[in-house]
Amino acid sequence: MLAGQNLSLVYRDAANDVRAVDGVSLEVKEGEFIGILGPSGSGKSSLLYLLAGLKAPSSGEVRFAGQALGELTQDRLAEFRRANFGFIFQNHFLINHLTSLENIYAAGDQDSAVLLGDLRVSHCRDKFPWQMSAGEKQRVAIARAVVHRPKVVFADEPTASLDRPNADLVVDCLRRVTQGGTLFVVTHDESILKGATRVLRMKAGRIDAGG
Amino acid sequence: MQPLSPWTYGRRNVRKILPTVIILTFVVMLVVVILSTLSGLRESTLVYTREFDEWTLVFPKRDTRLPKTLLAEIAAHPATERVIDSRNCFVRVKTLIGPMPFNLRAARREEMDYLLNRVGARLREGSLPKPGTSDVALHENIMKANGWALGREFGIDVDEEDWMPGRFKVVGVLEGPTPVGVCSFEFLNNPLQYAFSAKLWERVVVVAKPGRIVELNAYLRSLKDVKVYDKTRAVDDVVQGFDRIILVFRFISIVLIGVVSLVVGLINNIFFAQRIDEFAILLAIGHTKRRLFRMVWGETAAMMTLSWVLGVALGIAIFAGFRGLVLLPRGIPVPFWHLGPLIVSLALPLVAQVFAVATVLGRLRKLDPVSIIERRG
Repeated sequence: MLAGQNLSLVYRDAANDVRAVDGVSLEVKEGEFIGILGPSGSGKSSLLYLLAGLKAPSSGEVRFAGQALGELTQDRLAEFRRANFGFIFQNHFLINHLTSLENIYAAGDQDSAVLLGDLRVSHCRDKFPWQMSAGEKQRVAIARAVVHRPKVVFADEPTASLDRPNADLVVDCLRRVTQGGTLFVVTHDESILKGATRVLRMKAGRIDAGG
Repeated sequence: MQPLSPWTYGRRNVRKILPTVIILTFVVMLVVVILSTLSGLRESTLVYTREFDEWTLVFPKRDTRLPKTLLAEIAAHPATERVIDSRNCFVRVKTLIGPMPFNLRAARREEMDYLLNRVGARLREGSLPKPGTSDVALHENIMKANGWALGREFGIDVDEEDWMPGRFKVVGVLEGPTPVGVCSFEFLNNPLQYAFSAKLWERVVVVAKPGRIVELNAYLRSLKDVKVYDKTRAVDDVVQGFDRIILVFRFISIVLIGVVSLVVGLINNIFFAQRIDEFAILLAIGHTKRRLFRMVWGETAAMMTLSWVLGVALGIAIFAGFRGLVLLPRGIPVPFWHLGPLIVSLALPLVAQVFAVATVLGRLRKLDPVSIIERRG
């Protein structure tokens, strides 16, 4: 369903090249829950950006449902991502002048209000981001990522800025609303990967042999 | 629900859009007020050339009198309805750009009635000048402009700063679409009554048959040894000065439009920088750059339209106040509606829109959402 073939991402600076992702290949089937673990700077988030089509690989190819993402124009790729992928960032990145419901609506208009109920943030539907707690904001961000029923959801350290009870609640919600779909979760916290079909461990831009 | 509409953004970010709206509104208002006033003054002065739609003045070039044979020839022309012997007489009118001479038509009583009838003027108050007297009848606009009332006297004998030799008295106020004034031909032509008569050049009022003024003017201009003062000359005299001033203000408006567009472009760029997270996240969740560009275009267009409408409304209100309180009471019949200033002011939001959007477009094209998200994350 989603495949990365020999993916590399190289950042060039004045002194030398930094290989954030270095020759990673993987194939993911529909409905899989993939955890990606690794220390800071190991390339977890970069791999996620490549697989989600948010960054173009320096070499290699990402294919989803037979479509090579690199073959799409910028606008077509954006539309393709919007139709198939959802992305949750470490920081909620909600738009400050929009209410929760409007933030979700900006991504897709299907069952926004119902989704807020599923994520236990119905009471926040008319609140602005600055009127909500960190946990509430992250759950609204999850709603925004899944509102258009994407086939794959990418979550980049979704609980990093939350305390334990909030983190558990967010993970619980995330698992619930992505049930049946493919889910990638990048994290430092292995405990949130309970039930993962696979856990990939990254080190220096590569997937560790044991992963 | 339209969360990404200009309306949603505008009403939730009033303080952010206010500086641009205020600057644009103020400049549009300024352009509308200045150009409306100038255009209005130009048109109000052109009113004083209306009499030349009916007749043309002819003067001798080398002498103070015109040859009788020439006058007979003019009278016989098929486009001529009537030739009226006249003399030079004028009042000093206070205008916004200083005192100007306003010519009266010196005529015999029957000719006076005829001339007034041709331009649709009526006696509103007082009486027409009696033959052989220094009486004059003036149009109400002239009276208002000078702040005069019936019985007012003027001339060098009354005020040494005046330009018209002798002493004259206003005995009648005229009304009608064409500002005119009349005085007694007999008085001005009689050296025993008016000491300066010999010095006054003969001027002949050649009245055209209805609808044949162009033909008549072409004929009069073909004559030798006469000076012709027709509609074209009268309009030229009036508009030359105004057109220069209007040209200067149009130039100032263009400079203003350029500078304000630059300022608006820079402000827009600052706003864009402030909203970079928002654009990055919208790109990341699958909005196309084209859609974001449309969004920025729409927001800017809404802001420009609002500013223009406010500026025009304010400008018209201020102009209406100035017209009603200052110009009309002074006998300056400035028209209310002026399309030209509105069209010129329209250039402001249009140029500002293009400039503002162009600067943002450049940044939007290069925007990499991941780099923003990583930096903020």
